[in-house]
Amino acid sequence: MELDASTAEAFVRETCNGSANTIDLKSCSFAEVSGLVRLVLLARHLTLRGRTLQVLIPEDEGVQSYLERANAFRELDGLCTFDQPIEHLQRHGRYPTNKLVELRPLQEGQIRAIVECFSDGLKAHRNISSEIIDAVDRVLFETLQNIPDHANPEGTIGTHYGLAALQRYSWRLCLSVGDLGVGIRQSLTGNPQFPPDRYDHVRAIEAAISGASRHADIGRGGGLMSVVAAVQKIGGGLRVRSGDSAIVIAADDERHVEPCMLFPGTQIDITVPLSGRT
Amino acid sequence: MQEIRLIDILRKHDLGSRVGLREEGQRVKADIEAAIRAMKEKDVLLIDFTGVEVLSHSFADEIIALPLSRLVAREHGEKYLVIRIDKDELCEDLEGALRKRDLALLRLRGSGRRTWTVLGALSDELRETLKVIGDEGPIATGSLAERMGLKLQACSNRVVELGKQHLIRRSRVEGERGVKNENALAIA
Repeated sequence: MELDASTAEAFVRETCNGSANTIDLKSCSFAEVSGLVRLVLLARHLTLRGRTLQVLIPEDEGVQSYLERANAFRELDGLCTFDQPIEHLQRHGRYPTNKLVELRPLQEGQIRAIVECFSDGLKAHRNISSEIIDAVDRVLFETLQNIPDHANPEGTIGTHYGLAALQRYSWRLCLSVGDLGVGIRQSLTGNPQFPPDRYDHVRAIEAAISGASRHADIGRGGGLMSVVAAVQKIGGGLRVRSGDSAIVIAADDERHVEPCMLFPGTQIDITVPLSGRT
Repeated sequence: MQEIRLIDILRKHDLGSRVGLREEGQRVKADIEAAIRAMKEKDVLLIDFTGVEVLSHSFADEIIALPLSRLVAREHGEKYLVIRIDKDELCEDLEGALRKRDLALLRLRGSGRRTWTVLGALSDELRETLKVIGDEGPIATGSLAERMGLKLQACSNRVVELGKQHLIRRSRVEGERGVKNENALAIA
């Protein structure tokens, strides 16, 4: 199996329904940042609900090494148990790489530092145009600042802080930003213009990516809309997941809705095609 | 025309050339609004974006769209704002921020003052009228109507609307036989 956004959704379904307490990654042969972000958010969520979770670590040593380098074990530490010791994986070392920007937990005042870290990672590649680097910076600025502003509008949720990760492959770039906050629907319906009885999760996501916001000021709320435009302009697509739905938006603006298990927060997964290997 | 370099303000706040956080924009906006307040009545503030590499929607809204909305609401009297941006990509999010607030702004390119385009929300009719005003220099509404093949009232409405948007300056001048005429002049 491959750990990506859709397989991670299966883990969300199995564990949040109350039956499973195990996430089996034994046969995992490949992991994407979208799956890693979701996995860590799921572990955080279950811990908050008092659940105990066990993760069966991948048998494939390459995947084990990748998860270690991606900070997955570090982020999962204390949130779950593992079926075997993971300390030895640290001997894989963390060789400097500019292909992966490992899972970064968002902490107060750290947004600019994270954007600059991701940006530096991309600038090291000659096959990534400045247009893509600039667009990714804009996307990160908007999506990361949405977390304290929209995921935790009252400043009351201690664990709202998000996660971000980036991976560059030869032909594509994957970026994922997620949080465990109130989600798009609850944020949006704080504005009386968007009553909860008329805005389910799908409509709330649609409204948010079209420029709607919890703020009464008509000028606010363009951030997510600008993210969609910036990603599409560089030929990329994105998946915006919040509540019980995800909207998948292609580069040509074709959109479809994917029903999901109800889950807190918002996750935005972005894929951008690259011109080729260097 | 007063001119300020955005990159200098960004450096003053230790922000560098890639900016995107609304919170940071609020600090920069304070400097821009101070520059607007310090201007004389009827003066134009040119904000030069040279050296800026990345600008997000939220930052653009904070430093340009919000101060412009206060200008249009005449909170600062009769003062004007234009920008100089050579890099088209910087305009993408700025354009969106202006449209969201139903605002329009003149964008200069290069060092010339006559090579401008309009960013933001402005109808085709008003864009066409603004272009003629820009090409002609100070022009009486009657002459403008004649030049554009419009009825005087229709033309006058367009001039009033462009004035409200702070895209032109309007002035009363004494014409033949002491008749007061209205002149329209592009601000850049």
